Amino acid sequence: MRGTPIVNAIRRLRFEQGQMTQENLAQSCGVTRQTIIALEAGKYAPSLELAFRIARAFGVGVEEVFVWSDQ
Amino acid sequence: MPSNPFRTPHPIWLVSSLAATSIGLWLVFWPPDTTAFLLGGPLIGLGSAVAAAQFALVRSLGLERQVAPAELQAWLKVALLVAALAVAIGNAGLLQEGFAGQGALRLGIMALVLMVLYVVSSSLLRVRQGANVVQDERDLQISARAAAYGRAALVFYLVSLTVMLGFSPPERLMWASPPVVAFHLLLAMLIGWVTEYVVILLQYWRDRR
Repeated sequence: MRGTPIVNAIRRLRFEQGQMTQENLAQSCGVTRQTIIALEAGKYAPSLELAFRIARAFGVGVEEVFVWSDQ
Repeated sequence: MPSNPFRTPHPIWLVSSLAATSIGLWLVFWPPDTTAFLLGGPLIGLGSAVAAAQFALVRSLGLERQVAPAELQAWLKVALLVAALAVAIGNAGLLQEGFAGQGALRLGIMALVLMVLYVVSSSLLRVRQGANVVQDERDLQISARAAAYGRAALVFYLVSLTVMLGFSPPERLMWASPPVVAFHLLLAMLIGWVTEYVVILLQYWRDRR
């Protein structure tokens, strides 16, 4: 897969939030752990709704989690 | 206190009981000339019961961490559909007498056994997954993409069949009795579904790489 031009800081934010596990993040966002894995690996671009849910789980704005990358 | 024999670090009971169930299914669906076919029913019963016991009791087979719930369901559906295809093609001769004959009845019983096995296995999977999310937006997206491939396979088979029936001279279509054409329509449906679920598995595999 070519991946997505949207890069994210989910992995970094998880560790900054006291080692939040992928499972915990998945549960708080209502998705499966495998979707979090795919997001962290840049294999999947989330819907706007899921992007907001993830940002809320970290208590930050969407733009702090997801960034458009031209490269 | 004796330890639970199913709580082993490796799913040895699950693998061996699934093997026993497969042998049982083989004996029932393709019975040999000897009396060995009598073992088919007990093997299916015992094998599936032991497999269900270990599957329900052992909480960590490692599968849940590696594989999405929707992918597990897709594996199950592929197994069911490939078995159904094998049964349909392997017993195609039985349909020569038409859907009202004894052959069709036997095929119907085989299809029923496969459906019961699928419903039981699928329910067991759901029980294991408990209150966890079993399908999210990524699963739905993968499923929608795969459905397009399934439809394409179905349309390709049907168009090929239509062209062959429409353009072949009548003397070359002696084989195309109504039951055989009906059988081909059934095959088209099965191939469409198999394509759809195989594409689902391929997409999950690609995302894991």
